[in-house]
Amino acid sequence: MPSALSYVLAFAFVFPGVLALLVRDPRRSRIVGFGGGAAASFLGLSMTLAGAAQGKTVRFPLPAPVPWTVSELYMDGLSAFFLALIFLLGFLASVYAVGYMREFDEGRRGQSAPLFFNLLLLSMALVVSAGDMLSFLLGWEGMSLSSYFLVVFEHERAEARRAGLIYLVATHIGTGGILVAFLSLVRQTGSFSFNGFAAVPFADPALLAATFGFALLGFGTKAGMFPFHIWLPYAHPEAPSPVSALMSGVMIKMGVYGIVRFLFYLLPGAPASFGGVVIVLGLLSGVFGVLYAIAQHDVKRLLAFHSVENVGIILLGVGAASVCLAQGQAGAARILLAGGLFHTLNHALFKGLLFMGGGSVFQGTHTRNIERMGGLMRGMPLTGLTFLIGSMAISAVPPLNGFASEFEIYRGLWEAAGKGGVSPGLLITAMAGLALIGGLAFVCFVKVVGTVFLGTARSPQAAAARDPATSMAFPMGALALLCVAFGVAPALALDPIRSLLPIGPVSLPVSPPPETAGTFTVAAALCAVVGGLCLLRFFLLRRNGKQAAGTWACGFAYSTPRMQYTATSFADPVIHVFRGLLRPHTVREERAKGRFLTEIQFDTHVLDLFENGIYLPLYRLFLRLAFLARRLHPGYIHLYLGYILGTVVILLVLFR
Amino acid sequence: MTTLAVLLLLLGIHLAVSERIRPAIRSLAAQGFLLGLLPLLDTAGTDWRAVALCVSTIAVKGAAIPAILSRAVSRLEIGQESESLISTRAAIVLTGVLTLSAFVACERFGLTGKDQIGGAAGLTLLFSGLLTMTTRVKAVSQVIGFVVLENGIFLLGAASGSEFTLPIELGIFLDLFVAVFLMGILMFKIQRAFTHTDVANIHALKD
Amino acid sequence: MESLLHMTLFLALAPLLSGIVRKTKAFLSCRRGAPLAQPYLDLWKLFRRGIVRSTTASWIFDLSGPVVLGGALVLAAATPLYGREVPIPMHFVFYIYLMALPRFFQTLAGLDTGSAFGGLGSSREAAVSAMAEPALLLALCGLAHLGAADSIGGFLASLPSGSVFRHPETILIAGTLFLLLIAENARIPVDDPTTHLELTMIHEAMVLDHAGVDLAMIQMASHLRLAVFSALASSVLFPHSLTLTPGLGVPAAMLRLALCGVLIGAVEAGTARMKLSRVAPFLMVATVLASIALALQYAG
Repeated sequence: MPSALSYVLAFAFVFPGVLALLVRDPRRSRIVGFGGGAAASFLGLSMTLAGAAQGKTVRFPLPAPVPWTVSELYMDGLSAFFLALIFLLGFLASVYAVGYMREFDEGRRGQSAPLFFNLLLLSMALVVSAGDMLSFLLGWEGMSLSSYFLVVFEHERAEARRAGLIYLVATHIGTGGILVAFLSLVRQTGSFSFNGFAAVPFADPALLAATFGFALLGFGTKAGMFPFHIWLPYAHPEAPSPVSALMSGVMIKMGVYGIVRFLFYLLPGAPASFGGVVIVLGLLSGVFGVLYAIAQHDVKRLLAFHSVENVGIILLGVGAASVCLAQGQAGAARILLAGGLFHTLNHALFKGLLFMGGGSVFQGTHTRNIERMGGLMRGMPLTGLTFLIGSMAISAVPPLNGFASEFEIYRGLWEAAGKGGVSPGLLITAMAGLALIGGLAFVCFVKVVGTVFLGTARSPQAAAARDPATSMAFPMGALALLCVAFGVAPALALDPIRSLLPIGPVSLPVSPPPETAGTFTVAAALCAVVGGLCLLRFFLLRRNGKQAAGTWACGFAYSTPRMQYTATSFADPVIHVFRGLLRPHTVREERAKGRFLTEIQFDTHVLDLFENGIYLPLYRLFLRLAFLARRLHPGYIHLYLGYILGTVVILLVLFR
Repeated sequence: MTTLAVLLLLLGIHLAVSERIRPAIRSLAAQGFLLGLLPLLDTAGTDWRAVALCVSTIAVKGAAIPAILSRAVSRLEIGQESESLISTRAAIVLTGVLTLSAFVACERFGLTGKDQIGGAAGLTLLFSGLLTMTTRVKAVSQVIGFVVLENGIFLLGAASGSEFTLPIELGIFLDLFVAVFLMGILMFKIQRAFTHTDVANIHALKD
Repeated sequence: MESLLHMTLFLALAPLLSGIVRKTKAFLSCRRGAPLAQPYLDLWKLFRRGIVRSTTASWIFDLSGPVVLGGALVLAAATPLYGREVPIPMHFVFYIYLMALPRFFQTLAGLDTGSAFGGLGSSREAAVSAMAEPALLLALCGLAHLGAADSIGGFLASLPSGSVFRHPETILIAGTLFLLLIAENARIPVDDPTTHLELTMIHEAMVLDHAGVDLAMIQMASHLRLAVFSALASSVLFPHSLTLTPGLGVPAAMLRLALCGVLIGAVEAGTARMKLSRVAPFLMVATVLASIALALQYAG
């Protein structure tokens, strides 16, 4: 996109946000603010697609944010992919927000949201199109701050403030890591621009490893990678649902973008061990993410843990691609990197869909606890259907898009390990881990769909819930359609992604491998068979008759919906197997009146092992050190002057 | 050779994850029997030394030691369970990991093909013997673990291509036999003194 | 034409296999047992019955029968029975994941009626299959590596045959597949479909609210799954039978399946059902076996 257009785009994002602050009527404010954001995203999406179709890197200088430096934006294949991702989900989330934010109309509490929302979109676009360190960091900080304000949007609630604080600290530790990595690159190459970084290979392997380590810390924190994931399950649930959709779907992918940018562009010749570390961390993220998700009762927290899981899967693909590239298997690397990016896209689609569905359910029932829901398929058929599609996609059930991208990753891993013999131990372990993650995600989403949408309502609110308005239903429907489309015909997305990749010969493997049936064939066969069987069932039932009756309860009747199977019980077999890792915490209280037990209260939850085992002790240590440091400044001005004197003397003596 | 090694490897895993004492002793006897077959298969012609080694291995490891142990179990009335400090799930996972690392280690040693499989089987036996000794509570299990460890070393030696020298092997047998015998007697003593053979409680003896 | 023969064979043989299993089990426990054709009679009876549908059930419940049977049929279409050619040649990872589709609907249908039994069964079924997944993947990876192909039919037919002693890993993989067969098809050490107590069941508790046509479809799907797993596990041991001409291959396949049925029946008669908490170690053992088979391949 030409330079002038990007200014237009920036204006298109900021102006409606500012206008929304000024409009008095909250409804108009929503429409102006988020509608403007949606329009700007649509503009951005079409510009990106048009630019990517030309197929060459576009670059243009900007007036620098800092004097004496040249700042430039550029759009190569990787940037184009992420820009498309941001604008696509940005568009749908903005449309969703127009309807969703009605909740905050009262007392005009929602007026500031459009501005931060649009700024978040704009700064993410800046992050992925930045061509030098300074504009990158500018975008990165803008993204962190605007999303912080969205997390603490409901600042009257203490949980939101606490989540915001945790998020702010985590994201700045991450920024610190990125800054150190960039400064190391600057010191090594003497340049501030990405092209300059890539031009000079590292001489010192230890320095290279340290640089990558800091970058991984920084980007991994943003991506929610294990063990830096602890902020994510706090921050994502507290934000309003469209924001959660955007944060989980797109914002954490900025971390993935950073890791890909470093591994494949900025650190040419990265050794295989870097990719190995990424694979291991990805596996751990996947397994722990899904295990913690299974133990959750709060629907948005559960989805947030699944983001950790899916980032793990993406990193698995990206890391394995790097390993293969370092070992000279460019073909497998190409499949793997394309698979990782495809999963990035797919995760944005189905996680966006699921968060939106969760938001609609929340508006209907006013609770996030899935144990208080049930039977919503009746009142909310559209939400139910789209949520079901999203759940099948995230559990990698074919023929949906979640499976399509995981299949690519499997295929690449097998291409490398099974046929090429590249570190088979690690890569086949990764395959087995991926299978375990898939199976556990399956358990988790059967649990969610089953308790939220099926059975009977467990509370009056759940019984009264209805499908949301069109502006919220449209994005959910669109995302569900995309999930099906990319699942049935993965080539729709895979071919463009492959054409954007920097590695490997372009003519390399199509998906699926020619000798086996593709998703489309299988989906067609399934549709035909299932359709035929449905017809058969229909005619047989018309002949044989069908009668309705209450659910069989051994001759008794289910007197209360609470006699249904709960989500906690559903998850129990898995939690029981992994109790050594999860350490479930159970509280059981019995109240008796005289000799008779009248009430039993049973509560079980799983605490994050790393949060309590590592971060909390670290935090306490830090606090203790801070108290020690406080003794150094008791408030006497003379002592401070003494410090200055001491410093001057030491500097003069030691450093001439 | 390979099939034998794989069978031994599986027996080693079985032993490390078994929850009862009798199956563990049976697994030990089977190991002894299979190890006895090893010298017959390995040498090109069947010379008398290989036969002697075979017979003595089967006699000591396949018959005598398991018999002593199983007599000890019935005499001591210590029950069926070989109580473990870790859960069966953890034992399975650990054994799996140890087995795979045995393969990796053998690759590092430069063993390939059949030798790698034999070496890995030997290392697995060694690991599972050590694991049994580390995690099991009862004294009998300690003895079993010790014998398995020795089996592992035997197999490792065979896989790494060293010659079977009869006097040395026989000497080792004698040592092993005496050791197991002594341990058997010791177990009786412990039993009589403390009315149980729970090794975990021995630390109470320290002053 | 070939495809038609393949599917007809699967559809015709699958209930018979269940009949063989039951007959063997009855024989070994000194009972006469139901006739071999009993599963066909059951299906015929159920297909002519109407259904009683719970008032709480939604469209997912109605869809579950067709999806479960449809999924099983497509799975059967990808499984080699008497030759390497199958109607739908499928990548092995795809094959594993395709099993998730019918299961997704079946477990949801178990929750759909709001019955505690359904939830109980669904929860256990989902947990068991989640833990079986890595073992299944590793086993098929091992076969794909041995047979040097990606599709199920391709690698099964090109497995090294005859020399079981030179390739102990095939035995390990066949063993793993047999353990998985037991776990995934509600067979005795893992699950007992014939007890009178729903609380102890896995699969049968889940389908307790299905009746008539729906139940017939689900039972047919269970027969098919058993046949699919048996065909897989047995052709690992006798890969040569997949390279015969159809004239010889069909009887060979029937023999293989019958052998497998007898083996399953013998295991069912000879073992007692495990506690539920023992299922996880059982599946972990399967995983360890499969990974050792892979390690052996990369070593040897």
